[in-house]
Amino acid sequence: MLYLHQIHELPPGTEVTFEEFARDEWLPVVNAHEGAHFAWFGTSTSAARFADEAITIIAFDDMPALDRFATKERESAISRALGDRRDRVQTRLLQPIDYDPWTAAGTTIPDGPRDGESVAYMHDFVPPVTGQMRGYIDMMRERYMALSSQELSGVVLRTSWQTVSGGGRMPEMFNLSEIRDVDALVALIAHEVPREYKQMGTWMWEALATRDQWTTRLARSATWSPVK
Amino acid sequence: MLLIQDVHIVIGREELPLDDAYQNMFAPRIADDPGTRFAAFFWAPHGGGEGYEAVTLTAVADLDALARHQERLATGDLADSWLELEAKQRQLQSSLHVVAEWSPFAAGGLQTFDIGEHPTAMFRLDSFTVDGPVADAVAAVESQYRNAPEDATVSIIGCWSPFLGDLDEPVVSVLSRVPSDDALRAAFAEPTKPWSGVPELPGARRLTRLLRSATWSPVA
Repeated sequence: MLYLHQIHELPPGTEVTFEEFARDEWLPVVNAHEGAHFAWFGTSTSAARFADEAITIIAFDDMPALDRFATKERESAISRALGDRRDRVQTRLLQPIDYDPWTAAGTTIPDGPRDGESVAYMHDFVPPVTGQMRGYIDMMRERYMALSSQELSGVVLRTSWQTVSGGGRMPEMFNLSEIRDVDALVALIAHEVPREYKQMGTWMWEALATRDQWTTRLARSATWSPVK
Repeated sequence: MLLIQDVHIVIGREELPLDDAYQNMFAPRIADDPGTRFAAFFWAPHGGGEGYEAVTLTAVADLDALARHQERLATGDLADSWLELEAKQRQLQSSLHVVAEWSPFAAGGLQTFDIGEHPTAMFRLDSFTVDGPVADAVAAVESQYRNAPEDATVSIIGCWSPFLGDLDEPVVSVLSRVPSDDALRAAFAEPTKPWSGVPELPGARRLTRLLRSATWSPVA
């Protein structure tokens, strides 16, 4: 699978109309293409770093599906209409990493909107230290994925994807983590991590050799998003 | 009162050394000049901002005090400490602001900013890039502060705007405090529900940092 991830920066006050456009007009066009699936629609929460954003993820079965989609839509009227509704856009093409939980869980994408409860997420882009992409992936697979839900403060990784060549302004990892335990999340955010967890030799210290920068968005899926 | 707002992107392995250096070496000595006080040290926890992002606030009485502070940082008694702190960071964004007179956190003047031990507390710093006059936006925030509901998720405690006003990027900053872990828990439990008490400036672009005060931060 390949994923087209876009962050749409919207004129303030237009989030609702953009969401309706995405659901009622953009999604059907995407899903009409063979091998293309509108997978996820998310927006900022009240506490998110950036307001006035919408996030879309479109999945493609393979490169030919992406090629067909891009060939047809790169100059289409609906693409221009999408562009007219936003101030700026960040686009990334991503592929799953071998331990990707989304793939491992066999996540299926419904072929249209599905009503359900909104789910809260930590949405992270992580640019590993230059030259440490492999080291970061190894650390995530072997150390992070071995941690228990409790050790991860109730925040459970749902996707782990990386940019493909040409698919972003820098090599990045995309980690989408579901917030399952609000009590644990509050403990994580509102209280300091004990210093002994950060000392030399701990996994937190070792991990800092591979990355120490990221951008987090506190996002939530739309109640109609095909995948919540 | 003027306010220097510094946003630090810290080298990950320098997180604790930087915190220690600020607490023990740098921040206490700022008050050696009567016109300057270290006001706040915050970390953005995971979820709240960029990785290893810290925000510090330094209160300054006036431009004369700012000139003396700059002299101390550049070549004076704080110069070596400041260089050490800079070396622990990847980026530093510094900006100068005027504190709105009605801001509760500054009501007691410079002398109230004392370094001491407190429990950590949660804040949010909303930065609004506004369309109209900065003064109008500050007045709108003041009105929201004065009419805030008592049981709000957050309470506004301060507001500041660029020292150069409309000559500069028109960004109005609002600092709000989360009264308790329970309030934070309730707010996160319903992701579709807006937080009550959060400042709103329709038409403005908002950037938010969730911040946790250090145990020694004067504003806590």
